[in-house]
Amino acid sequence: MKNVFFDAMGNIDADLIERADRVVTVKRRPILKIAAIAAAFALMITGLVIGLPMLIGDGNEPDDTDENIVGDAIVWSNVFDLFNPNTGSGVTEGGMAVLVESSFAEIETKKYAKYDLGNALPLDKSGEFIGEKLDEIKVRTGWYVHYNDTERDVVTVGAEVYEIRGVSTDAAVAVKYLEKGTAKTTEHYYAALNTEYKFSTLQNFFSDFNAALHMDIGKDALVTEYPRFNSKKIDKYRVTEGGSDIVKFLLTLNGEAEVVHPYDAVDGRMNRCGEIRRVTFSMASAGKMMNFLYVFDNGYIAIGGPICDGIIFFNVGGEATSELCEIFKANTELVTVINPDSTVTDGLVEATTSAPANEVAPE
Amino acid sequence: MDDERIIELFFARDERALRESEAAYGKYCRAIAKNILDSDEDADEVFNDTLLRAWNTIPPEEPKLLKVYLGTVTRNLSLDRYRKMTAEKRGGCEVSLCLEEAEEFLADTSDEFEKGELSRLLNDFLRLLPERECDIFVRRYFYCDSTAEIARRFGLREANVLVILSRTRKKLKEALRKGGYTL
Repeated sequence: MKNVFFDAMGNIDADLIERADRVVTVKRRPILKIAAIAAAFALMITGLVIGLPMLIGDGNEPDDTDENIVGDAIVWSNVFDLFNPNTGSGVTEGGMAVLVESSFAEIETKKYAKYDLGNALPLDKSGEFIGEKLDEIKVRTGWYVHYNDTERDVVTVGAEVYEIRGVSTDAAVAVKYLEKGTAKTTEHYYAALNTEYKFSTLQNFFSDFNAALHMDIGKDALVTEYPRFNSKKIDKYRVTEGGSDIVKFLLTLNGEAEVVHPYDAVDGRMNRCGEIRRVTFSMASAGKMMNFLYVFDNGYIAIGGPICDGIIFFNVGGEATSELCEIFKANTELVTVINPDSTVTDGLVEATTSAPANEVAPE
Repeated sequence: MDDERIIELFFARDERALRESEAAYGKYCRAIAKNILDSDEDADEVFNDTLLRAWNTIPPEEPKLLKVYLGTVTRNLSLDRYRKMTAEKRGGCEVSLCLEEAEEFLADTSDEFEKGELSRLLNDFLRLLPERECDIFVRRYFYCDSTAEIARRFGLREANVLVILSRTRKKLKEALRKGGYTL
């Protein structure tokens, strides 16, 4: 079986092979205080590579835009840039990048312990988004140091839980820190998603997250289309004027949820269709993290990403998904095609353009 | 020289196609072969075989991603050579560790697959993974990178890589079980 597995790995889709070979570049956060630079040089002299901690501002003013405030801060340190901290050049392509530390925040209060803290909600929309205060909780925060598997600066801070207007509290709530800990701000409200919440129907999902107000497929959102999910032919499109027509139609659909986890989906459900489209969408009420909407032409749509646990399939009917595919075509433009000559026959891809199937070398 | 031009040379039966392929992708292919065979000489031989195979198959093959095409041929030839070497109790390195890992998590899995079925299943499975998890899995079981090399590439600790691979193998095993492939 191990040989069968290894041979089969040799026939996976070319874009997966190519993507895994790309150079991994890492965004470098700017150094914010001179003291940190001095500390970095001091420790360099002793031969240690350290991370420069994400610095917490003294005041309550966030030092990033709303869009950039994330629940977890990740600190990268480029070993080359440590020798040239003032270049501001960012990560050199091909240069080493070292993940040093990442912040964490875990709700300790039992009632909300299964809620995952996510991104901040837009501050200027607090009046619109934030409803009544629900509770007071404790949050354990600190820094996880990757290179020696330890934690540092762990503190338990107080926070308040608020309703997000129009959003079911069983799906998501907003959390506002009373003390900073690793939080960048005590002004913002962070979305906290219930990892155990299950949606019984598509309309439940839409209403629980107030999707009519918060769901967005933005202009230039990338749509990936596969003639069949395991095909080597991939078309990539961009949403042209904004996905409001797509969202508008989507909100009219309904179907029972068939909750699956990633590995369950390979029971063949995705193979029983002709075309698949995948597009990213955000849900402001969930802190604007990117999620995926899959549209199949066999009556199924699916949602996956941080907004739910695993992937949820909904059977909305073949007519609905066909119409949804037409709306996609009307609102997107083709950007690029990978392997345009590749065809699918009886579930096997004809190798017109791809690497040949594994062959045993001649004796 | 870009892929389109190199393919044109293959079609024109111009031997410059081989020199240009080596210039563009020789290092990439040799790295794949070296991961599997742990020998520069064997890697060179396999790469030469790869070029010969490419010469004999293009045309009619017309790969759109020449790099991946040559890399896959190299990988397949390397694995064949490794299996022969192992049978003769010679050679082996990182790939032997990969095979041990595969043997462990696939121990109770049937190997009765229809042609292409397991590859299709793997494609479905890999596409549902978060991008980094997928890339790490491909680096380990397609490219046969060591876990140390994977950790350097992705800016992780080696322990993190081992945990990620272990979890992904468990998910794959569960996928095979749910697909009815366990014994």
